[in-house]
Amino acid sequence: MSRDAARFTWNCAAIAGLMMLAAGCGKKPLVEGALVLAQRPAGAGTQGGMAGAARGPGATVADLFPEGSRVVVWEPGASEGAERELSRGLIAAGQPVVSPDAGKVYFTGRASSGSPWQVFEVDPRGGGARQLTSLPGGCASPTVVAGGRLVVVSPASARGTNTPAPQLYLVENASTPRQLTFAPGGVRDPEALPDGRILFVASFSVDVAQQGEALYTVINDGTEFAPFAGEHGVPVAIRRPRVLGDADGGIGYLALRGEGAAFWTAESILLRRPDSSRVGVAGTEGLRCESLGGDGEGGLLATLPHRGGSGREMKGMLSVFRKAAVTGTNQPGWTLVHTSERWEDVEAVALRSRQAPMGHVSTMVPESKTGTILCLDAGQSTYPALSGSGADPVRKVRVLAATAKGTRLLGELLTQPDGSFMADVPADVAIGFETVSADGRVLRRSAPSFWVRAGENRTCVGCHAGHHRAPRNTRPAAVNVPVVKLSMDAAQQAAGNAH
Amino acid sequence: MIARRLITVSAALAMVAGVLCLGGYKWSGNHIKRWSGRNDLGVVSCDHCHVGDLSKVPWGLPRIHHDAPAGMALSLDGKLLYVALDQKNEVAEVDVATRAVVRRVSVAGGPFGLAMDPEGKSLWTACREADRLVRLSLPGLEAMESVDVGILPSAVVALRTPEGTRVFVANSGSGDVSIVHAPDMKETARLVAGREPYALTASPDGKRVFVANRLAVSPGLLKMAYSELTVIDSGLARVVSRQRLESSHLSEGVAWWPGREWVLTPLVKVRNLVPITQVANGWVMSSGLAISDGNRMIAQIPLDEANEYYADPSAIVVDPARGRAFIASGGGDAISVLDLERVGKWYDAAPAGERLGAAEDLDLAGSYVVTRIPTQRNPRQVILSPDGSRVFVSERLADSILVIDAASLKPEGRVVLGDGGSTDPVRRGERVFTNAKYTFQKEFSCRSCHPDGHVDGLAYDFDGDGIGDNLLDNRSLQGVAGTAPFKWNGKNPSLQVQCGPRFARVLMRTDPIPPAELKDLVAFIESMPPARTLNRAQRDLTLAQQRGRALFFATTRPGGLPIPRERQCHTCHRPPLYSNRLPADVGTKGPRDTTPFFDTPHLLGIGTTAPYLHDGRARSLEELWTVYQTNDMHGVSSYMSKQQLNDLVEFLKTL
Repeated sequence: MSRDAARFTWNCAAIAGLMMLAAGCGKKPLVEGALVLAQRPAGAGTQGGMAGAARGPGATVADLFPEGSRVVVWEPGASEGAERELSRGLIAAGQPVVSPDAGKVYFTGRASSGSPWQVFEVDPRGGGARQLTSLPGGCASPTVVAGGRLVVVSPASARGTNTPAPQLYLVENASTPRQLTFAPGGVRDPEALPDGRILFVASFSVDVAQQGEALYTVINDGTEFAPFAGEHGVPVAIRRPRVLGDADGGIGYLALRGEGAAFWTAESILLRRPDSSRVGVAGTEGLRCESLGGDGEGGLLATLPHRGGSGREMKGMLSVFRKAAVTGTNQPGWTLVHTSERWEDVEAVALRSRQAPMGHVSTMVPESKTGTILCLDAGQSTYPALSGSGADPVRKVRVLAATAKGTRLLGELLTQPDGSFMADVPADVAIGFETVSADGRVLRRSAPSFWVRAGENRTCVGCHAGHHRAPRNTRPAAVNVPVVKLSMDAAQQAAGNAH
Repeated sequence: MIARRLITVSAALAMVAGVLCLGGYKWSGNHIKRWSGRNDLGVVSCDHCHVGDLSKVPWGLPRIHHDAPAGMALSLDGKLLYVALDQKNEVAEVDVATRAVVRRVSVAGGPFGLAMDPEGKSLWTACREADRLVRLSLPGLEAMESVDVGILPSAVVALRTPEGTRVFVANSGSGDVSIVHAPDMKETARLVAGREPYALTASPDGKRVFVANRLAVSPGLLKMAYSELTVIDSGLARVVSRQRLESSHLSEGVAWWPGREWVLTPLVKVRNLVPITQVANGWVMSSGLAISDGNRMIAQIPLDEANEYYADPSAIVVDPARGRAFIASGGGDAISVLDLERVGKWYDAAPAGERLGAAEDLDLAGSYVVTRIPTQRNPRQVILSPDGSRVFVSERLADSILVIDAASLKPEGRVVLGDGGSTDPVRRGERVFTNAKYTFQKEFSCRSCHPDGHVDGLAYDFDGDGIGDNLLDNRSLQGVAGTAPFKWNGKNPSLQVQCGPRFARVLMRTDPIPPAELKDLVAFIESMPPARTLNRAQRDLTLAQQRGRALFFATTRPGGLPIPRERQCHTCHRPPLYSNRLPADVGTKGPRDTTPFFDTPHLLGIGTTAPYLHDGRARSLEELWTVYQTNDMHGVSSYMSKQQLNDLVEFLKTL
C-alpha cells in the first residue's frame, strides 16, 4: 500500500469516526414534537369501554398492557408503521415516562410471560432497553424525582389476599430500594411534582365508611405524608395523575365517577387550589380517556377514541389527540396527532425536556425507631362527628396501629385544654386515631392510614382539618408536657395483661 | 563523625523546639485563663481576642454601588417619573412616554423615599444615610434645602394642611415619624411610631396619616408578637390610634382604598409559636393583607394560595377607579392584583369572628386575586400614574422599572436604569438573599426573617433538636462578618455551613443552595455593616453614654472591689467586635435548653436587635439585668443603681 493510500484510508476512517461521534454513536436527534407511546395490539382491549374489572379500579399493569403491548417513539411526519420500538425484545411494555432532560425514557416491561414486571431505561434516540430494577414481586409506574432517581410501585401486580399491598419505593440502586409509603391498602400511580413531592393515589378509611380514592403526597424520603386533593370528594377511583405543565399549573388525572361508570374520563385540578378546582377536561366530556398529560408547550395530550373512521365516539380505537395552549381568547380544540389501525394508543408522553423536580434534604434520623406526632387541635375537623353535635370537646385520643393481625390500640392520650396532643409512635407503621369525648363516646375515627418516618416530627392542624389551612400562631400546650411514648411492645404487653 | 555531630545537634534542636512549644502551649493556656477567668477553654486561637482593625472586615471595605431604584414619584401631569437611587446618591428623571432617563441629579446622603409636593413644585426625598429630608425644586430638580430628621428615614409623604404643607417622614432606624413644616423647613414634631416605620399613606382629605411598621414587637417569651399600624392626626400632629397586626411583620407598604375607606397593609403572617416541623401549608409563614377601617383592624386575608406562594409582600398601590390593589412580592418576583370589590363581598359574607383569622385559609385568595404579573428581580415599590393608566414597579435588584398598563394588566415596557450588576458577587448574593425560590414552594426568602439582613424580632422553635426544645431568637446578620462561629450554640464554623446544608434541612426543606450561589450569598451577608444606631448629626457620646462606657470597661466596683475577670463585660464582649467569639454560661439556661453555653454575640448595633438572649426572653436590654440576671453571671450588675444601669444601656445603644 502506497503512503498516499494509507493516508487516505486513515483520513477516511477518522472522518467516519468523527461523523459517528457527531451523530451520537449512531443515534440521530429526534424531531421536535416527538412522542413516546404505549400501545397495545388492536383488539387486545375491549373497544368502547373496559373489560369488566380488568380495566376498572383494581386494574393492574398486566391488565392495561397485555402481551404484545409495546413502547414506541413516534416523530411528527412519520408514516404509520414508522414508529420505532423502544421495548424491543420484551413481551409486554407500557407506562412510559420521560426524564426531565428528555434524554431517557423509563417504562414498565416484562421479558417473558412468567417474569415479573420491572422498570427499563432506554435512550429514545436509539439503542436497546436496559433493565434497571430487579425487585421481587416486580415494580411498575416509574416517576423521576430529584437527582434523576426513580420512584416505583412494588409489587407490580398486587391482586389477591397473599400479595403485599403495593407501596412506593425509591430506587437508588437495583437491589435495595427504600420503601417510602406504609399505607395498609397500598398506593399507586406516583407522579413527581415540580416542588419535589410525590403525588400518588390511595384510599383510606375515615370514620366508619371506606371512602373513594384520593390524591396524597409524600416528600421523596417518605416523610410529610399528607392529603392533596379529593379526600373530601367521592370519585370511585382515580388513575394516572400527571403534571400538565400548562400556564394554570394543572394536574390531570383519570377518574371513574359513580359505581356504574363504564369508562375513565379526564379531569383536572389546579395545583394552587387542589380541593376546589376539579373540572372535567374541556372537549373530552363523555369520552373514554386512557391518558392525559402535557404536550410540553403548555397544551395537552390525551388518548381518546378516534371518531374518524367509524364515527362512533365511544367505540373508536384510542388515538393520540393534542390540544394547543390557550392564547388570549383563543380556545383551541382537540386535534388528532397519531392513530394506527394495528395498535391502540393507550398512553402518550411528550418527548420534551422540562424542569426537574426540586430535591429535599432528608430530615430523617435513620437510627431512630420512632417518630413524633403533634396535633395542634384534635377538635378541628372537616368531618361530621359520629356522635354528638360535632362541637363536643375532645378529651382523649386513642392511637391505633395497623399490624399484620389487624388494628391494635397503641395507647390513649389525654388532650391538653387547647386540644393538642403529642406522642412518640413507632416509625413506618400506619397509625389511626379515635377522638373521644369526656363521657367516652367516640367522636371521630380514622383507621390506620398515616405514618411517620424514623426521627420525623410530624405536625397537623387537626384531625382531618382542611388541607389548605395554615396553622394558627399559638403555642400548643402539648409541647410543654413530656411527650408520651407509645410502642408496639407496650401495646402488646397491655393487651396481654388485659387478657 | 560529622553524621554523629549532626544527629546530636538535631536532637538538641528538637528538644529545644519541643520545650519551647510546650512552654508556649502552657503559656497560652495560662494567658487565656488569666484574661478570660475561665479554666474550661484550653487553648484557643489568638484572633478570638486580638482582632485587628475593623476596616479589614468585609463590611468595612468599599462596595460597588448600583442603580437600584428605591422610592418613586410622578409629576402631577404624569409625564415625568422620578426615581430615588440611594446607592448612587442620585435622583433620576424619566420621560414616561419614551421610558428614557432624561437626567440624573446628585443628592447626597442616599435618597430613598420620594414624594411629590401637592402643588407639584417640589420633590421631597428622605435621605437614609444622612438622616435628612431634602427638598428638590421642580422643574430644575435642584436640592434647595434640607432638615435633620430621625435615623434612617425611609418614606415620605407631603400633605396640604390649613397650616401649609406638612411633610411626614418615617424614620425606620429611630422608630418615629418626623413632621416637618415645609414653608420654614422645621421639624415641628417627632412622634413615636411602632418598630421600624417604613411606609406612609394619607387619607384623601389629608386628615390622617397611616404608618406601616415592619418589625414585630415581642410581648415576651412564647407570646404572640405583633407589628403596628400607627394612625396620626395630621392636623393635631398626634398619634390617635395604634392598631396591632398580630402574628405579623415585614409590613413595608400601606394604601388607602376609598371604595370602603379601608387602609390596606401587606404583611408576612408569621407562625413562630408553632414548632417548625414543616414548611408546607404556610406552616412557617405566609403572605397576607391586613384591612383596617381606619379605627381598628377588621380583617386579615391571605395573598398566597395552597402550593403557590408570593413571599415578602412589599409595597401596595390602589387603583381606585377599577377597585384593584397591586402588591409587590419582593421574594416571588411578581405583582399580585386583587379585586377589592370581591374582597368587599367576601368581607360582607364572612362571619365576624372569622375575618381576622382568614389569612389561615389559603383557599380564599383564589376568590379575589385577579392575576399575578411576573417581574424581574425584587419588586419593592409600586406607584400609580395620576390618571390611573399605568402602574410603575421598581425592580430593585435588576436596576429597572416595569411599566404595566393598569387596565389590561399587561406589561408595556421597562425603564432601564443600570446593567443589573451581575458581575458583582455582592449584588448576586443579594439576589439570592431576597429570592424565595430556594425554599420549598417559594414560601419565604432569607429576607423574610432578616429584612435588610436585620432581625424580625421573633424567636422560633426549630425541630432539629426536638419539638419544644432550644428556642432560638433571630440574630441580626448585619455586621456578622468576622464573628464566627455561628448559631447560638456556635456549632457552625462558617456562614457557608450556616446557610448551606443546615438551613436546607431545618428550614428551607429543599436541596441546599448551589455552591456558587452560596458563595455569593456569603459575600453579600459579609458586606452588611452593623445597624447604625446613632444619628449622623451626633458626634460625641453624651454624658450618660460616657458613664455607661466606664461601667462597661470597669474592672472594679465603685468601692474598689475587683470584678472577676470572667464577669467583666469587656472580657467576653471584647472590642472592636465586642465579642470574643467563645461560648459562655451566663446563667440563662432555660428548662428546655440542652446546654448552658451560648455563643457570645457581637454587640455592634445591639440597640436595634430586641428581643435579647438566645431564646429572646428579654424584651429589652434593661431586662437582661433587671429580670434575667442570675448571680451576676452575665456581668456583675448587682451593685449598679437604676441610674447606672440606664447609663450602661445608653452606652450599649451607641455600639
